Amino acid sequence: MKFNCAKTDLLEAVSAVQRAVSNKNIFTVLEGILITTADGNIVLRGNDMEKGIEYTIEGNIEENGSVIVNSRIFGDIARKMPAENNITVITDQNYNVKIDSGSIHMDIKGMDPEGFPAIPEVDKENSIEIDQEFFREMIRQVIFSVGNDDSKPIFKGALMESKENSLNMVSLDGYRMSIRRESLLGTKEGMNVVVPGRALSEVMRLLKNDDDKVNIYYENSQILFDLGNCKLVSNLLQGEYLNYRSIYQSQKFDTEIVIDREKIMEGIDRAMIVITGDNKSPVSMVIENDEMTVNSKTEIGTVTEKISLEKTGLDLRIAFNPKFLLDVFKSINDERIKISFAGSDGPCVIEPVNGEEFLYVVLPVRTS
Amino acid sequence: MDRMIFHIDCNNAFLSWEAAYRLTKGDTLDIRTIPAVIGGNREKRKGIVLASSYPAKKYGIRTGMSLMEACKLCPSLDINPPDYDLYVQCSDEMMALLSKHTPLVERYSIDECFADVTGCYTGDAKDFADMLRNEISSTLGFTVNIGVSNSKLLAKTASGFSKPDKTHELYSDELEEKYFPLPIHKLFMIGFRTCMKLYNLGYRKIGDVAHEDPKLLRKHFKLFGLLIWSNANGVDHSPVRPYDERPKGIGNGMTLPADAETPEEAYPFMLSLCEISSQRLRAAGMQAYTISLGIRTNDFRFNSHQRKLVSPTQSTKEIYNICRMLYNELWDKTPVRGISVRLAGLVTGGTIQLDMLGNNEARQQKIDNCIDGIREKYGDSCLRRASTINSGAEPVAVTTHKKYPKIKPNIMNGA
Repeated sequence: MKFNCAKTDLLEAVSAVQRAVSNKNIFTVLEGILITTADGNIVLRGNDMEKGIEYTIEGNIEENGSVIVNSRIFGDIARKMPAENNITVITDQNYNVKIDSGSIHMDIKGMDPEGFPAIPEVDKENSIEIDQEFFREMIRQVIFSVGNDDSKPIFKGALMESKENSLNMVSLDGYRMSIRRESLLGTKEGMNVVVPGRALSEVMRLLKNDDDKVNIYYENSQILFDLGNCKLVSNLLQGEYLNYRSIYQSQKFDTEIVIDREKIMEGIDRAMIVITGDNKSPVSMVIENDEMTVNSKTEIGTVTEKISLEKTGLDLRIAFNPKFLLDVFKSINDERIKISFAGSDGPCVIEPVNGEEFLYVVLPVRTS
Repeated sequence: MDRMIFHIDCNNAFLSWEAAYRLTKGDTLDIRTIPAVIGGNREKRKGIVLASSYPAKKYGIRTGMSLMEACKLCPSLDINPPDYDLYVQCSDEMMALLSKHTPLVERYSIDECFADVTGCYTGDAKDFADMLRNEISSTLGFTVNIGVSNSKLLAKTASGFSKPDKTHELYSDELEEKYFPLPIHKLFMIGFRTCMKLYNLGYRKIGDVAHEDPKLLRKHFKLFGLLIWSNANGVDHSPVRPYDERPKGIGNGMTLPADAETPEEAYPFMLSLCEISSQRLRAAGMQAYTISLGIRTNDFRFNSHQRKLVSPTQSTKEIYNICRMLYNELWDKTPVRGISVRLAGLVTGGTIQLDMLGNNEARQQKIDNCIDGIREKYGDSCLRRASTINSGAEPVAVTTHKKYPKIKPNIMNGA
């Protein structure tokens, strides 16, 4: 194999596929990147058996072939070569890899590409098309509440479901839940898959902030995110996701407030100043008339802050793990938000004042 | 005003405590007067010597020796199993007694503590120390050594001068005659290795180190060298800190009766360890954020994994479920010899993070409290989880003789 390409292109490709390469693996091939040339393209692939990333770049190909190179070493080479020169990669039949850039020459040992596990093909029958920027924002707004409890593996992923003309993404870790709805013309009903959180956060990093589209193809056990020159295939999590609507739909909400998002976010942030290290004290809130008193008290000190709001319904006293609320408020962009409470033991629902593009549920802390 | 610090060190703690306790039970034989040791198991003749009586020491029996060796040195040796619950009680009683005289008592280990008695007495410090010593032996039934000085470092050194039942003074203006001539291994914070290193460098006495250029010690021992040097010069300004008695962690471990080749063989024992640890956690009114499991394989490797929780727990069931997960993460198919369960990140307060997936901590709390209540009343074996039946595991791991009554100071009076 012999090809020549721009250093910046190669670096971008290597950095992308490295997201699907494990640094330590009992199988050395899985610590590697597969480089293949075919049809005038240079294709790099990484595969950690949960997800695979394939990145295509352009270059001058003089001789077709393929090789596996160690991901860390090859990544460092791509990173440290001077940006102004092209990089030439040549391999021989013993998988020795020569890398040249201007006056720099390096030799490393590669591996037989035969051992590299193929990234699964995904059937193109079921698909969804969405703006990259929109999709990135959707993931950002639900990824923080993906669970990490091995005993409940299904919640280590986010549910993606399609309705007529809309796409929903849901994640929950048992203590809080995020639902993000995006209306998407032309979407058919029927998608219902659980994508591992780790794959989604890699997708989020690969997505660009522009109008380019991402095509999502899915079947029973795999999902493919096609970003054009970059493709990510992930295994889907198997199992029944919770009927998540039941968590908030059957509740009776006695207190409803509309509040300035930044004010409450900053208030909670300030309340957390005295909650440090191992101390996991909750932050309490008292809603009375048109005011919320945010209060935290630990051995270090106390913080009290009053925030004005619009209230309908009953007065309320409730306590939360402040981090859970902060995560939600940070991921929303709206200026004002609506929060509904079902008593001090029931779920708290955070929604936009108008519309239904997001819905967060946070469960409170019961204090004795 | 100069500080006045006492270091109170129990003489032969475990053995004296056992002896005192037996006398209160009506035994006529004082095991302090015969060749006797604490440690291991009389029948199985395994284990090591944890403490020995003065007559036993005459046979050459030393702490840390295997019981086999000890029995060879003295075939008529009286062997007594250890009882940590008793030791904790005795230690607590001593702390309580000292706390009557000064609020500044720091438990340094189970059998020694520091007390800052500045301004807590009239007259001579040595007389006050002697009075304390007599009070301890007459009300608690065991003897102590008291080191008297104006720093913790020198007080601790002084209490080790000669034993038993003595008061020694060592003030900072007496270093030349009482401190510097001591052999180097008497220096506080010096372990075997450092001692060997110092010895090889030519230092024999504490004074040799004290008069050395600290830069040279720093070269050999880094920052620790400066600590050695200031200790050798008897410099110590550290205050007596009343110890925070709240536990930082609760843990229990055991060696399995037979190596477990499958997780299923180990689980019942792990469950009974979870039962005892979580029972202790609940008794302390605390909840744990961190659960860790350690396993020792039959080739004596030890490994542990831990899990931090979002919401703290005190439920046996949840702790056990997490331990099972950790066991599967840890286990490398080598037969398992021992298991330990440890709960850390302890908090008091009783807040419960509500959960939407049916982990009902509040409900579990009720169940656990109910089980604890029944077991307290009718004994640990009256209720057992079905999975421990026929497994050989106790329903609740037995760590020590839990059934001894709590000793009151006045009961100990008989000694």
